[in-house]
Amino acid sequence: MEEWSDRSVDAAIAPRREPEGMSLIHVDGLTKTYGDRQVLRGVDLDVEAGQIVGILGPNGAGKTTAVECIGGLRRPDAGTIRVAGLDPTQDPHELRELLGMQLQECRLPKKMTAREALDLYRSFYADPRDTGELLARFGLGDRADQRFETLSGGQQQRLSVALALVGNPRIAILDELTTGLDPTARREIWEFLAELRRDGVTILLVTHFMEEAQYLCDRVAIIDDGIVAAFDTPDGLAAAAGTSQRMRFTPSRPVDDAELGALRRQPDVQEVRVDGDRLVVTGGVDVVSSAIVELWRLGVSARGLRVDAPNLDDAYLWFTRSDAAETRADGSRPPIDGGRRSPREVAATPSGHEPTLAKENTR
Amino acid sequence: MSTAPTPSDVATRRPARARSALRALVASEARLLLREPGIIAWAVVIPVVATVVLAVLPATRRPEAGLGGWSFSQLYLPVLVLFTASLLAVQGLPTVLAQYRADGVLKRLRTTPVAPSQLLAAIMVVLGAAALVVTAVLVAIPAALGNPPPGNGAAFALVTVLAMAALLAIGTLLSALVPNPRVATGLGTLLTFLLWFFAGMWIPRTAFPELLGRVADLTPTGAASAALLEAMRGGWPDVTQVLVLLAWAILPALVAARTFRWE
Repeated sequence: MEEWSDRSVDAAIAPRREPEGMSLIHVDGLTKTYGDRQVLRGVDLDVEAGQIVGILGPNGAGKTTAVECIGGLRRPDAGTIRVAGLDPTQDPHELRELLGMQLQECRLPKKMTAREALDLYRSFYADPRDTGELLARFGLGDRADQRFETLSGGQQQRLSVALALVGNPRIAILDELTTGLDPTARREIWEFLAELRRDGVTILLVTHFMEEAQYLCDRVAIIDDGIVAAFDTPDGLAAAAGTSQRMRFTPSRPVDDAELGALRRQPDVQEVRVDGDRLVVTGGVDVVSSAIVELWRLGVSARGLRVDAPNLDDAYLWFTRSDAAETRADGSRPPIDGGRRSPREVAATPSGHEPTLAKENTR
Repeated sequence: MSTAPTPSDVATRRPARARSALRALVASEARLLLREPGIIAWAVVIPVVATVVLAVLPATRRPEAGLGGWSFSQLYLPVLVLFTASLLAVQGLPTVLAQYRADGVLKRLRTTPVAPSQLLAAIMVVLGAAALVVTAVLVAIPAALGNPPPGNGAAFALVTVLAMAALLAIGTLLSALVPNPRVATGLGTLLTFLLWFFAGMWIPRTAFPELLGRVADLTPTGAASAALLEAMRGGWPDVTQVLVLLAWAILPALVAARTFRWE
């Protein structure tokens, strides 16, 4: 029995603790108040084993508080949390063996080297990963004996992620792991996380980067104003934010009102708008073919054509709108069919990325 | 499933791993301490050099009637022992802990199977061991140079350990009450100067006026320095001195345990 590692023990006793069909991380009705500020107002979340789940949301929405409650670092006011069947407030020690966490703004002693830090943290776990492997994997091989204070921000961040994984956890909670990294380093960490998923590690990823969530996450939870405003696949969220596509182009000759009217009557075209000397045509999945065919019939070519489809960015903006929160307060979900933004919100959208679902309708 | 280990098997293996984690933490903290040239210069080099000088110069190794029959070399041995102990425990400990708290080192530890209290224990072990090693060197130097060693070595060691425990408790209390790293270091330095004074740093303990002597007897370094002198004479510490040191070891530790915050 001596050859049993604690991990296999966990695996052996896990089925007894995890009722059939229960997800690896189960959160129900989680609330947390700091002073008179209610940060979490009833968070529900279910994470299946082997998934990478992204947590998105505006600053102060409660993302970090939620994952710190899940990780047993904060005690929730109310609600149920089960991580692999364990209650983080009751079983912290067993939880620590199977859960690795990388937190924001956690540094190391200034004069500790990368290798020393990994060796030290290895000694805390029953079945740790190899220091050399992690150093190589995180591109720290030639920095292994450099002190923490002399590492660049990106190297410190990579070491921090490596420390969260040194215990060979079944679940990893990573809070803003690629903040401060250059695009190359970010890609490398993404590759490593994808590998971890192939090993069966479940990852909860708090992030500000839509691109990261789109690239890595099986599912994304958008937390806004202390609740999970939406939880779906990245594509599912994008679809929920609107199914329309938008094409922008410069017609090869000026188009008159009668011709615009003809364009509007084409199947799947919802909106045609003149924007300076350009045309913006919005509509359903067939809008591009319909419009191009009609333009060809009119003898007009679409120069510099660009087609945008709604993405996770749009979904994020949609689900974190202030009136979306009000809608949710009524207990109803935001409508699935393309929403209507107020002019203020359109103005607040970053320039150069006009939302697909703009309200101004020139029809 | 009959061969599957029960959770209690896991539990029995846990203490072994906790011990190996504590060993790793102690080794790590010792390494980090050795990388602090400032602390090494103050807590090791200065007292060692001072001890050598006092033990070598004829004027300071000769017993003086005006010093109660002690030589400067003998009289300053307890002072220098307490100099190092106060520096490490009352200035060093709060500085390190406040920095670890500010940097999130303690919070990160909470995400692992190791409790942050084990890091605190490791720091105390390392600082305590450093103080004892320096003490042994400070005692050995005059003896090696032909000065009389402490008459009661066991009593000298006992008082040193008690004094270090009291000073570590004070250092922990300070870091429990003062979370800001700079304020903690500043207050620690101030407190250390005060402790040095009561140990007899600037005025030898034997030259304290009656009232000041009675006040000093209630301070950890005052009580310890009187008890160490008694040990040099070959005697054992008073019960009062031991009680004062125990009180300083226990009371601040109790308050610190209630108020200490890891984050």
